[in-house]
Amino acid sequence: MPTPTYVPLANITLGSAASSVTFSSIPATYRDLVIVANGKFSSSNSLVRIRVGNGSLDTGSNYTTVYANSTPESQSATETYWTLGRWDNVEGTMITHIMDYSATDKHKTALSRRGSASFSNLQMNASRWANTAVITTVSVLSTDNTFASGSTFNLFGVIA
Amino acid sequence: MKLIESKTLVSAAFAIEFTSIPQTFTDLVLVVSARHSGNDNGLSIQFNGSTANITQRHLFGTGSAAGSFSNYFTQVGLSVRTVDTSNTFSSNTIYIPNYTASVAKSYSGDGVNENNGTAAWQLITAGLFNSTSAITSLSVNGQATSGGNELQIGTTASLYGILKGSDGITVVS
Repeated sequence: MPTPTYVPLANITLGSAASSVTFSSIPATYRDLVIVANGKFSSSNSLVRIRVGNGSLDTGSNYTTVYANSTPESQSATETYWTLGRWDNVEGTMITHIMDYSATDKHKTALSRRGSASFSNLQMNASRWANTAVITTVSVLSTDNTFASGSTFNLFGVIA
Repeated sequence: MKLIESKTLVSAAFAIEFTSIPQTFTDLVLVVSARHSGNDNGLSIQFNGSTANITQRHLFGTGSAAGSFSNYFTQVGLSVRTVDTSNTFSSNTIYIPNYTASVAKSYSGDGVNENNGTAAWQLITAGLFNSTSAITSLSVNGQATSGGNELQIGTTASLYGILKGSDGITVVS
């Protein structure tokens, strides 16, 4: 069995609540990126979202996603970020794999799985960023809540 | 990602166990290829020998239908039964972030199996092991509740460790 290679690029562990975390100056020397988030919201439940960009985060309506979740339902959306489902105030996990992030001849695609076992909205997403630019910055964010202190966000580069 | 240990059964066994897991990584990834002797196609894992304090949500497809369910036992993946096509095994990946942290442990699982074109299950799991103890051992079992079904010869479980990053290049905020 081959051993996949995850190269650790950066870690963020929140010392206080924050509405977003951002990785920037991401080197373009890997094939894929993987973001692993493990944490919870400060209160109630909210949507976990991701923005990407080249140099700065893209806030345009260039993010499409199709998803299925444990409601169960399946829908699609075009927004100013990828909406990857809900977390609540009990620890949850989100894993997002962005393919070919350093290519300049294709829109960027991503696969995500996100879940919080205490909240009935386990979700998987297939997403696209309608831009051919290299991704150099990635942000995990909430638009109406804060990630609790102690939440962790890890960025990995994958060597093909 | 570094291989901690890989085990392949050369004789049937009720469990594959990883003990004394090093506490030097950030995350764990468990990859399992499984086949067992029972009629239930579930695959379970136990953390620190416990079947308690588990909450899970699942999203599944059968090849002809889809749905979701919750449970409070340890099924987190799929196996292949002995009544299914010979020489076939399931494929599962379980990702466990922050396994040494003194908070509840959430995890994510993906599993698939297939039986000669007549059935193909997919299972995605969000789980919570509500324990503040570091995970020091893992056990892979052949059905949804502990014990019962023997894992068959050729069943493989591989445990990987992942370190968090701090490369000095990527800026975080």
